[in-house]
Amino acid sequence: MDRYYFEGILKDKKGEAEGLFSIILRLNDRKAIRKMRPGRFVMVWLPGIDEFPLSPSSYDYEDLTLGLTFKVRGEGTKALALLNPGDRVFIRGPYGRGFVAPQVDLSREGGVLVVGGGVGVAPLLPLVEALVSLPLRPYVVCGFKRANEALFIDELSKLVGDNLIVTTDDGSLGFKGTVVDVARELMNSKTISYAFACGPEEMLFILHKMFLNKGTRHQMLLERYVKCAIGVCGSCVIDGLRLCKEGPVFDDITLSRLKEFGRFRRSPSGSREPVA
Amino acid sequence: MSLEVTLASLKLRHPIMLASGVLGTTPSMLVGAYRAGASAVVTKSLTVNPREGNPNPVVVELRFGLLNAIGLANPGVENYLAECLENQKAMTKIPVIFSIAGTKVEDYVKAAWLISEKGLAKALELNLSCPHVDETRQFSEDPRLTAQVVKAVSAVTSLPVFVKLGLTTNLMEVAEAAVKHGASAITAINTIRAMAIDIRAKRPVLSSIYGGLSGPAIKPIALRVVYELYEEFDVPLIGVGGISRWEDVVEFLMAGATAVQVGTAVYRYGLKVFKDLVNGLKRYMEEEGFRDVKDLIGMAH
Repeated sequence: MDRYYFEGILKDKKGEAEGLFSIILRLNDRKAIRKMRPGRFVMVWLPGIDEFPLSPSSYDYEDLTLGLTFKVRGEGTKALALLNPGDRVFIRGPYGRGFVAPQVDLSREGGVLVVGGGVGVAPLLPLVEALVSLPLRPYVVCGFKRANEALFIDELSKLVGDNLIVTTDDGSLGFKGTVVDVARELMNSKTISYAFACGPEEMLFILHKMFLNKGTRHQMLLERYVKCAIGVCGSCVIDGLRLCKEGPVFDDITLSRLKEFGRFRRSPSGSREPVA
Repeated sequence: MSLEVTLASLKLRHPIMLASGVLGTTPSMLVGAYRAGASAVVTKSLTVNPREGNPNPVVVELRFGLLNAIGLANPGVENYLAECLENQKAMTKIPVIFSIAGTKVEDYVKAAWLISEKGLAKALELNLSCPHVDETRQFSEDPRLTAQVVKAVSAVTSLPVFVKLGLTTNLMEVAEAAVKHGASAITAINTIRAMAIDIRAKRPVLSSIYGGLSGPAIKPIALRVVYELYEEFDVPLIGVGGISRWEDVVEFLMAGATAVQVGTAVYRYGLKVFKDLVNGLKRYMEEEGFRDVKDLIGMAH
């Protein structure tokens, strides 16, 4: 018997912020959920419309639920946002390497920093939960354009209390400024031994340089155009590495070797194009 | 013990190459495959203009193989060559075979010309048989078209021209046309047109409905084709289709292949598959007392 996809029945849907939605799916199979880790991703298939990658914002080994948080940016995500409870979604995966427990003694060597930008905050939520359960109390810095695009503020503040710092470009929520400003200040005033980040690649690139300067080990979740998700087609390649296999989370040593990080990604044809 | 084989002017350290379509999307990955142990590497099929390929889903994982309908997505010959030139030092040291696809004879000619003049390629492989792009598939379904394209390409390049055929009922006629008009080797076979239906979604999985089946499921068919071709033709044959264990390599050599290409097994087992296959082949030759791998070629006839 060949089974190509797991089925997910939509249990719940809510608007999180401007153009951002979360859905909760109950899967028909334990296997897919068991293999979920923070930072891994699934392929979401809406028959006749599209199939695209998403890194879940939650998952539950007991309830077999999977939470997907996404920004509406194409036909696929638009259709996903229009689904109703009871509707079916097709899932394969999870794929790739997620965040891994760093090789340092996190309980001794100072604080851990988690930085998210925009919808990039979504896959960091299960990471922060995992860190808190270690138990750790990471600093979490989340940046958004405006207050109406802010994501998971309540969930994160429940997890880390006043270690959560929110920034917006226009100052409509939290600090006015960028996550980079706040992260820099934190690193100057506190001992930060390890950092995790996800968000727009320009932001990640600046953070990567800053972490390198300070000698702070880190892992970042990157995004590329994913077609096959099984390491065959090459559409998600960064330098010689396949995001779907060797990523989507890369550590500082790997990131420093990648010439395309922060500069180029590949279009559907495989041509290089600027990241920004 | 000698594992060396020769395909036209191309000397290979052993018979096991990387097939087109897997990892060949970027030059850096080709270099990686060679370093991991492939004796030669074939690029993803390149077309004159960039192609986005088919919308997702484009692959289906099966128990005995892989179904794909990438749709010849590629950055186009010129973009690809530009990226190769950035890695020129590494690229010139390794046997790189450029795979070309097109929808018209002129496309193949133009691509062959552009590739040949850069001096990075050691051979060309004409993909005349992509099973999910109809305009390309037609070339290996009609011996006259095969003749035209092989003749036209051979006229503009001094590189060896390998011709990759698909599974067609007139395969022997097509091969004859290719050999007669200048093919230095025949690569057989391409993936086989196939499909999958998701019974819960109640529709074909692939956005393009049909795709190409590769992997162990097609191995006995590919082996049969190589055996038949060896009976009829004197050009070197490159066997491809579902090779994933060293025993498969030996079978293809004995059927008449001078070299083999590995694709789907790289996806399944990773790049280490090349070393595993080479080591298995060596062990077999020791056990059976072979000194030269060339002695195995066509042995089963």
